[in-house]
Amino acid sequence: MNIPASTLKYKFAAAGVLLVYALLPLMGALLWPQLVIVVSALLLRPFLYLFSSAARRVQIAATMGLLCGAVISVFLQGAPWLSGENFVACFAIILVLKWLESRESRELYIIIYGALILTAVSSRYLSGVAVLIYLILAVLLWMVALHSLESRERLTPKSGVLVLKLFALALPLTAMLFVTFPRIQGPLWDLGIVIGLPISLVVDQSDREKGIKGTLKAGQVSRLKQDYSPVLVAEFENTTPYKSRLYWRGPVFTHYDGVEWSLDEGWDNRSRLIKHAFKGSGTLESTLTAKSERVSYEARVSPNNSRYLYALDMPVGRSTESFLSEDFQLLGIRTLSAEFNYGQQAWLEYSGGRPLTHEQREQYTSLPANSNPRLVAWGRQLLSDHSLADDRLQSLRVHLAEGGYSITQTPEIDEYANSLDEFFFDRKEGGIENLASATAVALRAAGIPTRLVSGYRGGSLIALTNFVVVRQANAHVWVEAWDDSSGWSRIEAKDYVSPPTLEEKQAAQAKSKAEPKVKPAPVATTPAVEQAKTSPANTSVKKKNAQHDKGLNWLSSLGSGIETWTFNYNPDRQIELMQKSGFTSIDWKSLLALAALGLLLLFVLYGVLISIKRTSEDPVAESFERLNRALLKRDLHCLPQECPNHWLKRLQVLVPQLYPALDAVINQYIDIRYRGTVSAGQIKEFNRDIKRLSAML
Amino acid sequence: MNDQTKSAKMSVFRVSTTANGIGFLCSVLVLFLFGVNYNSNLLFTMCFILIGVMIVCFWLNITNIRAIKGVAVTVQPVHQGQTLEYKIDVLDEGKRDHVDLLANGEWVADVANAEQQQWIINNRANKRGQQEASLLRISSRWPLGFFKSARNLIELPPVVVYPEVAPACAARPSIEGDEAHLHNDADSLVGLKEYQAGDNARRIDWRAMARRDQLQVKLFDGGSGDASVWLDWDDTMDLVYEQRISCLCRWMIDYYQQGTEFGLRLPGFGAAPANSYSHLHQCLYQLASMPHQVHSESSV
Repeated sequence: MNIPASTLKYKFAAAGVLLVYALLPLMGALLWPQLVIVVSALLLRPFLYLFSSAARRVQIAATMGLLCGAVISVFLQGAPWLSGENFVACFAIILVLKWLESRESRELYIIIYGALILTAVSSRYLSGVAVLIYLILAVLLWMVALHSLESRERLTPKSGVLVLKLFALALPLTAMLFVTFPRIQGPLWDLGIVIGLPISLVVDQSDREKGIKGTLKAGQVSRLKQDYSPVLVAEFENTTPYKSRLYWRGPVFTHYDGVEWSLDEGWDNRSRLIKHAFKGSGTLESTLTAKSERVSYEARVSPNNSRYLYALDMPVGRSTESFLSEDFQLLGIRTLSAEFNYGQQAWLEYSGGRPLTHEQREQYTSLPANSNPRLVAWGRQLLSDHSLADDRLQSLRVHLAEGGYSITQTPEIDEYANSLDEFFFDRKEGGIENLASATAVALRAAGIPTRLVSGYRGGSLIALTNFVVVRQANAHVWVEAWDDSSGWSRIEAKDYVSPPTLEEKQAAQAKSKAEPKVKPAPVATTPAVEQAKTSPANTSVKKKNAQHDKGLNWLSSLGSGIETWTFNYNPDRQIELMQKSGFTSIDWKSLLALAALGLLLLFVLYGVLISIKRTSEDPVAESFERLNRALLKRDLHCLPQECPNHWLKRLQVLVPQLYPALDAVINQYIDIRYRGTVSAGQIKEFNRDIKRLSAML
Repeated sequence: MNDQTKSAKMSVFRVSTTANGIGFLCSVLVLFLFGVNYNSNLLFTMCFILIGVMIVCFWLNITNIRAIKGVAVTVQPVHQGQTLEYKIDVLDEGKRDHVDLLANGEWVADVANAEQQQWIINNRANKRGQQEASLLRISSRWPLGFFKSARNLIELPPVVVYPEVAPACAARPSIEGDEAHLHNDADSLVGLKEYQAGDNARRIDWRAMARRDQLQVKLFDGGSGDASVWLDWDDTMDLVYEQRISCLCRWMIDYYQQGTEFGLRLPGFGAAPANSYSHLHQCLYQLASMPHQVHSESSV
């Protein structure tokens, strides 16, 4: 199969256009020497065409020169050799240089497929609808370039029509696959854990000290949130609870000195810890006053040079080489210097604990002298305003919901005396540590025994599996408040300040429907949020929302629909959609089977539709029959087995007046039937003549 | 090849994934992994569009060569070393355009919707003798080259390839002095003689054969004409085997073009002198059918 040489330059041009298009979003991310190399190579190729004599030598020299330049630029820029930016830049430069030095059309396949992958990488530099438009145009351009490579002719408008036709025909298949194909969420190294690869949770020695230990002060959690090293991987026995309901319990702080929280003295003393630990399988459970949503899981904890196993709140049962402390933590008998596995159960909703001693009550309500006076006064006011602890808690919730607070992820947060006052009354912006500390201090001032719990909240759900990967980035602190009748219960201040988004609520509802065993709407019905719902503040928010809803027009609804069902079509939404469609059991295997079945059905359907033989009637024979029928009325028709030439001779004798017209069309027929190459135009003309003549007859 | 075998061979339809198609699948896999890694719905969408395009291409590729029919094929004999030119009439049966087609690996003209087209397929004749019937295989990678579908379109008829014509021949044929026929006078029967190889088969006296159970040919007095020429295998004894054939071929063509009657004597074959196209064809056919060199010298 020889491609005509005259079309080669058009093929190179098509590949070049695709390459330039793939590079466009990336241009801004390239360093200037890299940019110069890319642009030079792109400009050099057309220039070489103009001076084709000795072009090959110039081509090789230019390619080698630019390659050397690229290597030097990478060396000089000082960034790590294997950094992502370097890799992308090198990939782009290699593609452009390959395009520059290519001579044969088959080499262009490398460019075209490389450009396709480069397009995907480049799209990371765009956002929103621009990505969608960019990728669609990239696919169209890519098809045009590939078609030009495969065709022996140069590109014509017909090529464009063909590409659009292919694209349009592919859309139903795309939609089906988009809806049904299981969304497996990355990153890919998490997938390795899911599919059972023996990936250990390797943590550098220096990183092992990162977690929250003896003390806690502002900025500590925010700094941890910048770190993505793994803390643990948990595999749930049945369905995975919604991630906002997962509290992985770590150090529990009692003492606050106005700047930082600290643990009891001897907090790491094993004898002391074991002495006060809950012994026996049922001891802790027997102290619980309320419990719901029991889950079982197996966890793999990375080494952290401490005893904390970060079990899910509230842990029940026992596992080997561990014990449950009096603060409900699962602790290791030894400090974790290597990866540790344990199986555990937990109640996601709970309240309870051993009755507080007088000394403990003192500890949990103690406040440093002359620290954050305004906040303490505000707490005291609560105490004087409400005799019931529940009312005081409710007032705090309302205040947090209406106070206009916001949580930042800024790692550099100054901690100083009275900083909580400033946060609570003036700045109203700070880290989760500020919020939790301020809540704890206010409650203590209001006479409610309180402690601060640190650990992790949530994790990365590996879509359509039962795995959750918890990272340092999930670091969190929350408050536990004591009630004499019910014991310790969790106060999640964050949920009042920034309540779950509508999307999270929907996801949670979908999840709850997917898991009939689990109580409904995990996020939406956390006790804190539920209580806040009934508050006046919530009512005012609802009113605001209603007004906002009135302002929505169909366009914004459409826009949000597209955003919801395309950009944000995540595993939870996929499960929701499948359940609405009547599927009860949804996991990645069933979705994959559904996608495969849909693909097969559409494959067959396309085959039938595309391959249906269109009307096989020969248009020439059809016209000839039409003439024959017209002449049959005069008994002049062509006899069976009669040669058209003989028929014509017969007609010359029988109807000499019609002979010239009949001679013209019958000779046309003979010509078309027996001459060989016939154009569509000739057939069209013949059909038209027959039609006219038949009408005359 | 009987009809059943022929029909079975004609119906063979193959679709295979090309290297381009495999490259495409690998690229889609890479894109999919990107999509997974970045949790990007849009990259997933891109992958799904590409898979959809591939499936559409699969069917379009098959359709491109399916509803096309080879109607007739003609070919003229040529000499060894020349090109056999098969003229094939094809027409579209499915009201579709058929583009970027290859017949026996060579590009052929597109066949537009409801159009009749003539393709000319050239095959170099490298070996003298009877060229057996073969099948014309058409293939296509259209539209994007992910798949290559191929099928047999029509049977190319058997054709004889005459021997290569020697450019010049040193040896000379022996002229035995037989007179050439004056065809208008060859009507008075003078007797019968026993049939010998090389005698004109049309002059066999079939009635005499029925009576005597042996072949006899009629002898006519005829008129006298120029001397006819006998081209004898033995006249080329000094040449090597294939050159002897080429040389006889050269003489035949030369005498045919000069209008001289020539007869041919080959081992096991003889043709009485004549100068018609059918005589030339018969003689060339016999020469072309001479055994090839491996067996030739021993048999001769």
